[in-house]
Parts: sequence; C-alpha cells; structure tokens
Amino acid sequence: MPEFTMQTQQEDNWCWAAVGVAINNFLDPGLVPPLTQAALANKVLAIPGVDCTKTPDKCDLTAALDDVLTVTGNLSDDLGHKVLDFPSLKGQIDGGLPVCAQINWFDGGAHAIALDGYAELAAGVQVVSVQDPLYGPSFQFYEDLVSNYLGSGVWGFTFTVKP
Amino acid sequence: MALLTPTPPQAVSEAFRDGLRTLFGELLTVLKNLNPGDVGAILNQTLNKHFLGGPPEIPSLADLGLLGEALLDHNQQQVFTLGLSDLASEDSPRLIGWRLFAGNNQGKTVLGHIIQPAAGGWKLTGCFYRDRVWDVLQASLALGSLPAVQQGDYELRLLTIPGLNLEAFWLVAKQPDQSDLVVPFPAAPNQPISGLNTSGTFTMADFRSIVSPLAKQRTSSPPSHVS
Repeated sequence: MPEFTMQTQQEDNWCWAAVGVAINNFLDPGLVPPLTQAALANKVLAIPGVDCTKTPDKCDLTAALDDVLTVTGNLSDDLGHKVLDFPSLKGQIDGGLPVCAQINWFDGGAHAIALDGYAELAAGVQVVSVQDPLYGPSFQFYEDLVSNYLGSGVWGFTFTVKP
Repeated sequence: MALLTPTPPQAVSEAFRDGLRTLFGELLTVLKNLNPGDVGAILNQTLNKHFLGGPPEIPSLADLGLLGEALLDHNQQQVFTLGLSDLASEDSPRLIGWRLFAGNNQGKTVLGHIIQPAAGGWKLTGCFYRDRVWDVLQASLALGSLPAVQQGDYELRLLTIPGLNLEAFWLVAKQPDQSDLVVPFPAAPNQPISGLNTSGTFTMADFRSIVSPLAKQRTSSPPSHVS
C-alpha cells in the first residue's frame, strides 16, 4: 500500500484543495497528469475567465469538502455532523481508506484534515494519526481530536472516501 | 533588554512529559520494537495499530529525552487565541493553554499542545512533528535578535486566529512607552495573508487593522466551507 501523503495547502484558503488532491492521489494513483491543487480549484470553483493554475490568488477562496470530493470522484458518504466513533474509524483505516474531517473552530471558520492511522495503546488509550495541510502531521488523542483540536475546535463533519 | 519567556506551571510540564511518554514511548516501543522489555510485552497484547502505507517516522525516545529523568522540553509558549467575532468586537486574546517543544534537532523535534480541561488539571491533546515544527522553533529562536527586543523587554506569547489559519508570535511590551508587537508565522515574504507580507513585524494595532476585515469576510462564509 502506498503512503498517504498530505500536501501543504498552496493558498491560504486551500485546505480543501490540499486534502482533495492528497485523497485523490492516494486512492487513484497513476492519474496522468497528476491532479494539482490549482487544477482542482479550477474544477471546484469554476470561476468564469479565471485560470487558477495561472492566477491562484484569484482562486484563494473557501469551499465545501463534499463538493471537492464529489469533483474528484472520491466521496463515499457525507456523514454530516456525525463524528466517527473509534471502532468506525478503525474500520475505515483497516479497509485502506483515509477519513476526511472538518474541524469547526470554536469561534468561526472551519478547516479540513485527513485521518490516516490509529493506535490503541495500553490502558485503552486511543490515538489518531492526523494529516493537516496547514499544521503538518501529528498524533492526537482521539477524545481531544473530537472535542478540542489544537485547543481551538471540534470535529464537526465527516466524509468517508472511495477509490 | 531581552525576550522574556514565562515558565509554565509544573503541572503543564508534567502533562507534557506524561503525554509524550504515552504517545511516543508506547507507540515507538511497539512500532520499532525498541527496548520492548516488560512494557513491550504488555503492549504486544493490547496494542492494535494501522497506518496507511506503514508506520510514520517519528523521533525516538532518546531524541526527546524520554530515556532519562529530564525531558528535553524547551521554548514553552503561552497560547492565546482570537476568534473571528473577537476581532470584530475588539476583544482581547484569551489564554487557552501552552505549547512546548521537545528535542533539539531537525526532524527529531516535536511540538505538543497542552490545555486545561473543564475537569481541571492539564492535558496534552496532541503532538506535531516533521518540518513545520522545526521551522516554528527556528522562527521562535530568531525573535531574540529583533531590533526591538534588543532595545526593550518583551514577553513572548503565541497568538492564534484559527478562523484565519493564522499563527503569530505576540511580543508583549513590558515598558509602558512601548507597543506590543506581532510577528506572523511564517513571516514575510512567505505569509499566505498578503496584507501581512508588507513587514516582518507589526504593532498590535496595525496587525488587528489588517486581519479584522478578513475576519468579517470569513464570518460570512457558509458553515460548510473550509479553508
């Protein structure tokens, strides 16, 4: 199985583009040419007269993660506000599928991340491997990922993916 | 004249050490079969793990000082936050916790976030690793050479505005005739918010005048939109 590689978001608002490209590259490898964040932005935003590959700053906009995954063909289920419990998260990872999550910041704004691993440690401690296009890779305690990511947000929406 | 870095309560350091030992100690022991000993025997019975594409490369116990009594934690920073509505209402940043580094080498340094749960005490919520952690540490260390810091005392804090994807070093002036300073991370010319690419350092007033309009824009985004 190839490694799941998150990209750094190339524009301030492009967490969705970085996550969308990372998911697509992982689940549909061999795409020629490989999907890029700017190319994905063109498809998702579809701004008349603007080419995001040439003027990405004009495409530095927010977007909905379900729209992004629909465009890439990788959306399996939009679970809405449902947070995956740990056994369900394990089931996705064991099936070779990363999980996309939307972090809702406590006081406005939202951010996309991907979950690509888990571990159950001694005494039942549950740990999740998080790939964040802005803050980089991390291990988060599951209960804190759900309720206190970076001390600033909660796991708000869930999107499962497919090849 | 200096950059002052408050020492966290002992409970914060203990929460960091204990959390790191859980995350990296137990995880690493099993992932790489290092010093399994009795702990490994227990973990082999209880640990269940799966990482897409294989286990990630993470710093070793020795890199983080977890083999000895003294954890190699350093550059502790109080974390304050501003929400989007705080910017509109000109509220002051709120303290939400601490962040601490462990390790001293590129690729072998981690950054942990410690919060105070409602139930009390302190808790490590998670730990970041790889390149950005090192970049943040280097930027933090460079603050001491800022001309303003050479001429006055400032207290170092971290200011986050999650809704704008923005982190900045907040230098709180200790002399009444000086202004608080803000140094965005990453600094110009690599700061994604173009308005903050005009300088490496801003007064707090100038900083807020640049980011407040952005907060108003972001507040109007649909709740399903991410950035």
